[in-house]
Amino acid sequence: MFGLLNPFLLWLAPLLAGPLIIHFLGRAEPKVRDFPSLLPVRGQLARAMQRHRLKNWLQLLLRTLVLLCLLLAAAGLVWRSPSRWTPPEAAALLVNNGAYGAIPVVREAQFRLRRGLDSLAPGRVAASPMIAEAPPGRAVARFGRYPEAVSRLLRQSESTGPSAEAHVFLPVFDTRDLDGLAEILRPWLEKHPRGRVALLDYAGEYRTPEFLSPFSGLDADFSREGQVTLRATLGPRARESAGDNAPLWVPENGASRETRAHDGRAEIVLPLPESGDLSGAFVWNGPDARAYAESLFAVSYRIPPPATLCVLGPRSGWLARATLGESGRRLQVRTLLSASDLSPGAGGADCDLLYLSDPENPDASMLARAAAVLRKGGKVIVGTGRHTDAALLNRNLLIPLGVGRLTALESHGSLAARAQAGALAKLGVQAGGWGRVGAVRARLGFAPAPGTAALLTAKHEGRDVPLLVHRRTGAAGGELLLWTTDIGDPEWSDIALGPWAALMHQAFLGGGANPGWAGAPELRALDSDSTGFFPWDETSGEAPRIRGPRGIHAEAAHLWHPEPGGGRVGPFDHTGLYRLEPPEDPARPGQRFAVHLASARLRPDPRGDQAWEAFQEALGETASRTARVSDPDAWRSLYGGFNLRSGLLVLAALLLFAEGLVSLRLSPFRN
Amino acid sequence: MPLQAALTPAYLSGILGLKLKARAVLEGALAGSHRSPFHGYSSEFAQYKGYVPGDDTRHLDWKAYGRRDQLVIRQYRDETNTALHLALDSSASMGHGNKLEYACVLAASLALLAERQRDTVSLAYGAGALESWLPPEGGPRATREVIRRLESLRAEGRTDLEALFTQEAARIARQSFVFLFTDLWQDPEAIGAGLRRIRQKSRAATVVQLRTREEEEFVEDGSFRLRDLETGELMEINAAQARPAYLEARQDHARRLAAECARLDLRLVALRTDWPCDVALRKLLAAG
Repeated sequence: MFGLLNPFLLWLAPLLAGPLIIHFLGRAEPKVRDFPSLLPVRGQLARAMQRHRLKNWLQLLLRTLVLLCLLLAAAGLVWRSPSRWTPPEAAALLVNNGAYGAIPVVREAQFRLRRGLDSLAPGRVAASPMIAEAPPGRAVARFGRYPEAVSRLLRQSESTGPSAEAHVFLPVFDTRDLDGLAEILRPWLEKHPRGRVALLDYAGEYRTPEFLSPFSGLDADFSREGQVTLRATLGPRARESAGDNAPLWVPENGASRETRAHDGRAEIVLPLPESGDLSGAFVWNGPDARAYAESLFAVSYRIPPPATLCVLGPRSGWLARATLGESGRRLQVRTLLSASDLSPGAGGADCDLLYLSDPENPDASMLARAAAVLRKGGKVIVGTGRHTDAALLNRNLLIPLGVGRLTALESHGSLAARAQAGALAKLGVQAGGWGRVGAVRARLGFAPAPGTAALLTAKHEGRDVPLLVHRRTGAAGGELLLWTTDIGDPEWSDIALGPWAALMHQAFLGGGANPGWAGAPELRALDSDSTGFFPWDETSGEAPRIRGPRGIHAEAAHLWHPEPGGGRVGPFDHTGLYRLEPPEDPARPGQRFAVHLASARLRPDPRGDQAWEAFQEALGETASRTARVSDPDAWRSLYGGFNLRSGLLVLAALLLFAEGLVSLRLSPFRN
Repeated sequence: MPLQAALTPAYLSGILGLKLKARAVLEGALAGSHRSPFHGYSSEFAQYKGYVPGDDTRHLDWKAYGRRDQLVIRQYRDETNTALHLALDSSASMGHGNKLEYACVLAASLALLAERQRDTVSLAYGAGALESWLPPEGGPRATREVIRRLESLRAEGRTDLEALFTQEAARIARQSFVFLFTDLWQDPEAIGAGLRRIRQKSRAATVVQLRTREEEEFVEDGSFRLRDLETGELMEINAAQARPAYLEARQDHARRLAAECARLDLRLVALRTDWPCDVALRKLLAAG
């Protein structure tokens, strides 16, 4: 049984036609020369020319064979004995686009697997069809989109037998791929009753793929005042084997309540809290002792009165509006041109939130106003930069509030924002793997006081230097966010945070995707699937209904962060959160109910640890086999076969020698 | 420049008509010779006879008179004329290079020589059959006619030397000198059949085989198509590959021709058309 270690090189097969093309292109129409009579020499000439033609064709054949041998040698032609090979019980399917190769075990496995890409016997499917370090768009081009890659690799796994387990490593970055995968994996699972498919996300955690969920639908009904009715509908696969394994509703922040399915539907009615959230999950235990969960969040909150964000300077005002976007409906941005605008007489007392971005000439009175905002429970963001008067800030704001103190200016230092993920996590924002460490133009040192949290630090001269600090102050719960580095660049490129900075500000200011921020004056929901997003025109007077990817009706949904240039913005894209707003009730002005539905595709697999271990084991087994494909001894011991590369090279050399003989007319065919 | 060296076919064909060419060739050929190749035929002693009044006293043998005191007249064989038969193969293959022209120059030279010897000359030519024949006649007038015919000769038609030689042999009345100008591009056995007829009529026949340098050495290079001048047949050839086979075939052909001529006791003279004509004529007459 022959195989190729690197079949992609077969794309060079058209080169085999090279000698033929050269031969035929080189044939010009011969000139005609007169000759007295061919009669006496015709026989000998004809025989000579026949030999000549034969020699030509022989040369062509030999040259083509030389190229073929070299091509096959490069493609890694191998032979293995079918009798010596036994299909493995588990197959690891690694579909990795490289961006998630940071997981050490996956990266190592990927490296080894790539050496034996497609060299595997049918069934031992472990391939990394994507190009490492390549963006997803380019990576998928090699094998097509993820579903195509998975489909191709699963076809090779047909001989794994009914007991095979397929461990699919697939980043759930792009949920659109999941729909395609569902179409592929469902038939595969039907063919392999004990087959198991689990998705491993970029964080290295196993997830239950949504399309394998026993539930075909989840719904929330808010038609009853103060109550929410949650419904789960069993899908066909679950319904066939439902029996005693009915869905179970397990609220996470309340007493467990149980419900069972009747006619494939389970329903539970829960009281809605006046403010706060209610979350739980429908859990279905499958016949193979697997538990699937679909979680549901019900959130109720009272919308606070509109707040005023005061921003100093026209550029900062523009920046704040651009950052907050639609939230301006509830967060009024007010641009202050000078510190005097902060005076109570000028309306400064109305500022709930204050954003001082790299104040060039802050004076004591302005900082005193900022302190006043904090004391009354407001929030203040202070940015610093080259022109910041650190002493003034220390004296009038930071030291009196016990935040800490800014120290001497340090400029032109290279900073690594390695704590970015941690900082974002502290703000309830999930970090992603993009953004590149850059260099700031200037920053200030900072000595935090006790109780001040450093959200973002940079390694500088062997020590962690805070870049972004957070401090709660005052009995009213005022919060201060202080940048000790220059973020004056509207794109924040100098600290390589890109749009993160904006999101961090926004999260700080109260909006966010975290369910825990219910009640924030922010009405935005996340949806990575653009087909599920429909802008709601509030002025139309209609009550819009939004149908999400899984058929969930919603009243309104807003993109959390517009996709710049059509691209995607970090991990927010796949959280799958929705916020539903029923039509406004005139009787209860300002109050809305919101429901976040988090798809179960992001729920950890109940067997997460075991699955991860199984995946690693299968991956390791497969990798160890494939890693040895380039070792002829290993081939012989594993498959009773041979790597034919050396033989092909020798054969190519012999063919080349024979071609030389023919060219030099030393061919045995001559005469 | 010596005349012989100047008498190349190319030189002659460029500046002279056939008659002058032939005369120049003849002069060049005879310039280095001490006796005419035909001298023996005209002055060979035959017998004595008694003098009778009226006999030419120039032929009296005075030595015999001194010894025997009797007047006798010496009689010579050259008193009877010799016929020179010139036969040319005018098939299309003779049109390759300058073979036909070369043959005409040599034939005209021989005709002039015969005129000088007061012999008669006959001319015959054709390809597959005898197209034209001039009966043996002597004198300048006959020579002019021969040269005129040679000047109008064109190479065309397919070679059939057997037929040509057979028809020519039928026109040879007595022992004569026969020169057959041809390239002999035919099967040696067929040629032999025709030569046999000639040999039956003449014991002094010479087969003059004309070859161009290209035919001899196959000097072409590269790939090309050979076109048979007589049949129009095309054959694709790579010179490097075909040359050894051709030379071998040509040598085999020449060997068989030589064997055939030797068997018939005929003289075979092979001439290359890039040789000077006088050299060729001298070679032609050397053993004549």
